[in-house]
Amino acid sequence: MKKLNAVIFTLLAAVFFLPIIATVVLSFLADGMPSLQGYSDLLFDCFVFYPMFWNSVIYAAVITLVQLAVIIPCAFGFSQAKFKGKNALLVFYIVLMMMPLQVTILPNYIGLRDMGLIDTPLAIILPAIFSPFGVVVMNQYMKSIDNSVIEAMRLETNSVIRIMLTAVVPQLRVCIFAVVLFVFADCWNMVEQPMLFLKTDSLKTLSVFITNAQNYEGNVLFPAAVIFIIPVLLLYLFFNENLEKGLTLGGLS
Amino acid sequence: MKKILVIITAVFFASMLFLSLFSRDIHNSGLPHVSASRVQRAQFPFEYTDESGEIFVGSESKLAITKEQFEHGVYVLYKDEKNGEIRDFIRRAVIEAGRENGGFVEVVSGLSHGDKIVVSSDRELCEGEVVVRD
Repeated sequence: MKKLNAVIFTLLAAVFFLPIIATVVLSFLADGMPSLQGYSDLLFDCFVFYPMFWNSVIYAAVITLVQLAVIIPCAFGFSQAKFKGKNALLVFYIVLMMMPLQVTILPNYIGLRDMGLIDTPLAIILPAIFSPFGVVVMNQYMKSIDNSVIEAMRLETNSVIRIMLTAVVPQLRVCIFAVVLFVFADCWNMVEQPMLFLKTDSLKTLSVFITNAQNYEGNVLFPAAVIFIIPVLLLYLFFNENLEKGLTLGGLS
Repeated sequence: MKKILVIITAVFFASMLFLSLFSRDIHNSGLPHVSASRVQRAQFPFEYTDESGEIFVGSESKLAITKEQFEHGVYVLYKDEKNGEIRDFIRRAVIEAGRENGGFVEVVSGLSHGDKIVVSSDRELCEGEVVVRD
């Protein structure tokens, strides 16, 4: 039975891994022959690629860091504070989390347009900062942390921020790494928001470049896709040990 | 393992930063470098008769290229979009020659006023290629 499971899961893994292998192999082919022509066309003849690459890095990094600054206090409030309507608010967050992008993108566009933020980097960063996913995951994880440390800190100080930073955040390290990974990957992969909220090509992201790759001369699609995979892959390799712990320990409480 | 990952990440981002800053210069070093100027005009004599039948010789200003340019071929510089950017391209001009005067050849057709033609280049040129204008 174990061997059968191993074979099935290996085959499934191969099926999921096949598109990535195909992308990497095709990036090194030109007219059916091994060649670096695709990389040469992309890196030395397609200069719009570089601003889009760095835009993706900057947007994803800024959104991830600012989201953490919002998620941790929010989740701490949900887990420690006692106020009327807390459970209803949490259910509202979960409902928001389940809403597809297509439902929220038009209200976001109208709000950004009225604030004059269309075609600015804030059009991408601001709506992405307030993500219910991280709050829900971190709130679940906080239920498993040791409350005695928080109680001990409360004896020393009244400052909620100090309690949160010194007693809670060190215990959330594993969950923070898991949330960082998900949030970064989500921001790195976003396509609809840059296409709709940004008009200037120099502000758009690498995902938009790949979507419009057929407009550029040369075989740039597959090399761009390979370079697109690398940052998220590196981040995953850094944090993969914490990913499973961060997402499951909260569920065990 | 973590150390290797840190090194790979640093190398990747350092390479992307280096290419962001210098890939255009590297690309341009492989392209022909040309200098261009507007098509010049030269004076060409012409004969005309008045009402009494007397023949006069006048001169008129017409678009002209040098004899050497006519013999070697003329490339016209033009701008077009490639990969989301405006770049300089060259096309070979098919010139119909007219009168000659003082080392200049009249351009009857093939060039317009305002066209920029390649005056010198550092290598052989091909129709339709991207060039760097000095």
